[in-house]
Amino acid sequence: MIRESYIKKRLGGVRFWKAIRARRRSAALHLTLGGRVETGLHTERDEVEITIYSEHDGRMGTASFTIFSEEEFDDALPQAEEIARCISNAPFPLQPSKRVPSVALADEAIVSALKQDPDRLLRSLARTLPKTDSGEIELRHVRTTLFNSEGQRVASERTEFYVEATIVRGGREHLCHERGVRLADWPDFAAAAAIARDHARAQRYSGTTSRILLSGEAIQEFWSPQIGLSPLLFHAGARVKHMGLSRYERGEMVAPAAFSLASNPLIDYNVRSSRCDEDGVPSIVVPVITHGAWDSLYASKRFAHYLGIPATGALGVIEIAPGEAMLAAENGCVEIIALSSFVPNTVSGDFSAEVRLAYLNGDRRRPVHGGLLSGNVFSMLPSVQASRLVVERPGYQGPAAMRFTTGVTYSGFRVR
Amino acid sequence: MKELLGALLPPMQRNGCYAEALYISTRSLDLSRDATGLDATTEHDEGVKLRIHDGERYHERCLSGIDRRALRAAARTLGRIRKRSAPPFSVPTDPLDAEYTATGAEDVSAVPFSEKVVRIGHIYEILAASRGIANVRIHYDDFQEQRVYVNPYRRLAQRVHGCHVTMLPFVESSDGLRYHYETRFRHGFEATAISDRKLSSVARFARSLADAKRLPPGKYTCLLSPAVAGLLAHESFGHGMEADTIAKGRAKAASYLGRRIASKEVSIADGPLHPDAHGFFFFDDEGWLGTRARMVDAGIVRQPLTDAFNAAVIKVPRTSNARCESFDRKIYARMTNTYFEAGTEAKEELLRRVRNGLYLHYGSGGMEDPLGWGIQIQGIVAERIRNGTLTGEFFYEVGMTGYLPAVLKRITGVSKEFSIPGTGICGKGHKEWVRVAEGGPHLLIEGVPLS
Repeated sequence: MIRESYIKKRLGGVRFWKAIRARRRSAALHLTLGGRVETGLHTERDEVEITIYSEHDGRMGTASFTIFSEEEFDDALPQAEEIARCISNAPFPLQPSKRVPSVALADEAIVSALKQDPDRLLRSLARTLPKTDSGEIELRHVRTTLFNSEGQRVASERTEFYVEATIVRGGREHLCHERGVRLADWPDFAAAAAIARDHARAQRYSGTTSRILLSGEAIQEFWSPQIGLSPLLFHAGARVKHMGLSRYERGEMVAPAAFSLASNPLIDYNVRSSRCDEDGVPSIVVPVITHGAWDSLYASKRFAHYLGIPATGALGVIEIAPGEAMLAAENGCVEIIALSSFVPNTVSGDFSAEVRLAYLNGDRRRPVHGGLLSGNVFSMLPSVQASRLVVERPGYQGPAAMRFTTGVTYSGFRVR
Repeated sequence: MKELLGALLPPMQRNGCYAEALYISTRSLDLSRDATGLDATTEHDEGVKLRIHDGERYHERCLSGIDRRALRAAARTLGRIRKRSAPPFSVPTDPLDAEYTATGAEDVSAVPFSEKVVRIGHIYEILAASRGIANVRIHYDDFQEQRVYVNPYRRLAQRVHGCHVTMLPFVESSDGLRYHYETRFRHGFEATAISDRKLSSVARFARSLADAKRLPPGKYTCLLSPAVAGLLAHESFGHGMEADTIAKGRAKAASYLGRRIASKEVSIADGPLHPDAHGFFFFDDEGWLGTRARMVDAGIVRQPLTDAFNAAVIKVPRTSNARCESFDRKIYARMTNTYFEAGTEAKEELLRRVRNGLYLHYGSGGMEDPLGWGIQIQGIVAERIRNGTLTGEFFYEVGMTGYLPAVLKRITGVSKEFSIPGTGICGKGHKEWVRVAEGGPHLLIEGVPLS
């Protein structure tokens, strides 16, 4: 175990520094054919990541290193000091001591299970899976303490579950994977089962349309992709702005006036929430687009200082204001429920994604699949319409459905 | 380390279970240079995985660092578990004690940090000063990976180093910035030896994207580069040949084993033993020495990629594909370096056969669909071919879809030129990231659905 007092003492000769001590406990169950357990896994991880900031000739160099025991410190520090001396960036201040907001991010049921008998809880959760032939369940508890040379100290606690279940229907599969903070949000798999059922009987799409309604898993994936970042959020980052890569111009209209989007890291029990960022900057809500216009950038301490704007802390849940109407896919429109994968080009906003499940004219009796949804996120925004109905999902809180009529095309192919 | 791990086996085997131990240490340095300055991050991950099989299932205890007391306690805990039956899989019982090293011509651990900064700075400066380049980001990373594996019969150690350089020049287009990327991997610092002439060609290629258009949806005759051929082999086929996916009834490949899926000119393989390929290693995380698995042999689906447990479940030979992301993640059947095997025709000959089609330069990634065998490869940069000549007319962010067996059957040419340029990481779903590479020859395919 690495003591906080030890780290502070050994860093006594360094003017500016930051340390993040993390203690993680996790347990996982991996199931195979017939619901048999393939692997039961228990892990313990204790580590401290230390960053030093070296001032020289009015410039600043940074370097970080990770240790797993106190004995490693003496070897690691000189190497980091050598690296920091070779780096010469514009200086910036570290986060001074400041209270951070309280956000509920731990579930006592997971904490106590990991202390006592995690296998028992894992087995009982496994019984809720729709099909146990290929399930995975992981429970995790992380205690983090961030402290720096300026007196900032933030202790956080976070739990998380991950569940993966594959539902196979009619020779097609739907992989359902969910993360959550507390067991009260454990999925019931009904939506995933419905996707699997309709995917099994879906016809291959062979038309072309530019009238799209995104809903279900697809709306969450569009705004909060599993891999990477929404292009909109990429361009709203202070670092990207400072690099000269951002489209962001404060006040410029990029969407209809009814559209507002914010980053909210303060929503209790959401996996994307947090009390502060990795520098200890307290989290706040950042209005990225307000009434259709670029509003604020999110910024770390360093890039906020460079641009002369407030530091905002961590990026959080994507929160989009609901619309006023109940949206439906009218004639000629395709309602897209699930994409195989959505990995947009964050710089240009371009994307192409295979459609896993959609409905012609929104008709649940006419499921289709296949073909490519391709377009550009920025070109789609001017035509966006949001539904009144709101959903909260990991990383996304906003309209359950959104309609687009510009900048996007769904093209099918007859491939066999 | 072998001695430490070896001493942990007897207490783990106290009740007769099969036991093995794996130590993993990875030290890495990331350097990024862009208009905001230079950033450096060093990372270190280290820990031990202790694992027993009681005849029915694995039990694992994973601990960070090297805490001898905690490891002994974990070994004793595992030793209390009773053997239920013999493991369902077999392990080689011939004794082997060996050490392996791949550190390249210029070992990254011997190169001073200041020299790395200078080299990356030079690449940045040349590209940033190139005509038409609006912005540049250079990313450098090197890693020093050590793995030690011990079971009752084997004591193996390997040290594998790697060094990457990724170049991202940005250009202005009518609808905003676009970027080109090129990446290079070697075991040693020689990866950074990029000539000024090569940097000029990187900048020239980036400039050609400024006027690139969106491709009208349709089916096209395509000549795939080794990079795109590799994505097809990895994303669209390889994932469906992972033995755990087959064992769980999640892969269409199960019904194709022994059946023809492509012409006899087409073979697809996977194996770690390609020096300077990103998925390189000497033995896998269950101590199985590196081999080549021919997943498709002359058009016939043959050998799945296996870990010990799932090879036994689906009753196929073991291959060297048991891998974990880190000491505290599960070991799965995973790809390494995945590729179409080389053919006999010259690339130029294949190009000459295309009257009206596209050359697919590279893609940004893809997604597996092992049960449906649907193809999704995105972020492709394509160039028009007319009458056997590349025209300089570019298309940006092209997506490829289609039904894999149909596309494989339409491969009409396989070049003799071959490379494994991929330098990516691969997830199982959206997690469990391991380093991999993909590649192959140039492939000529008719009627590829693109949008």
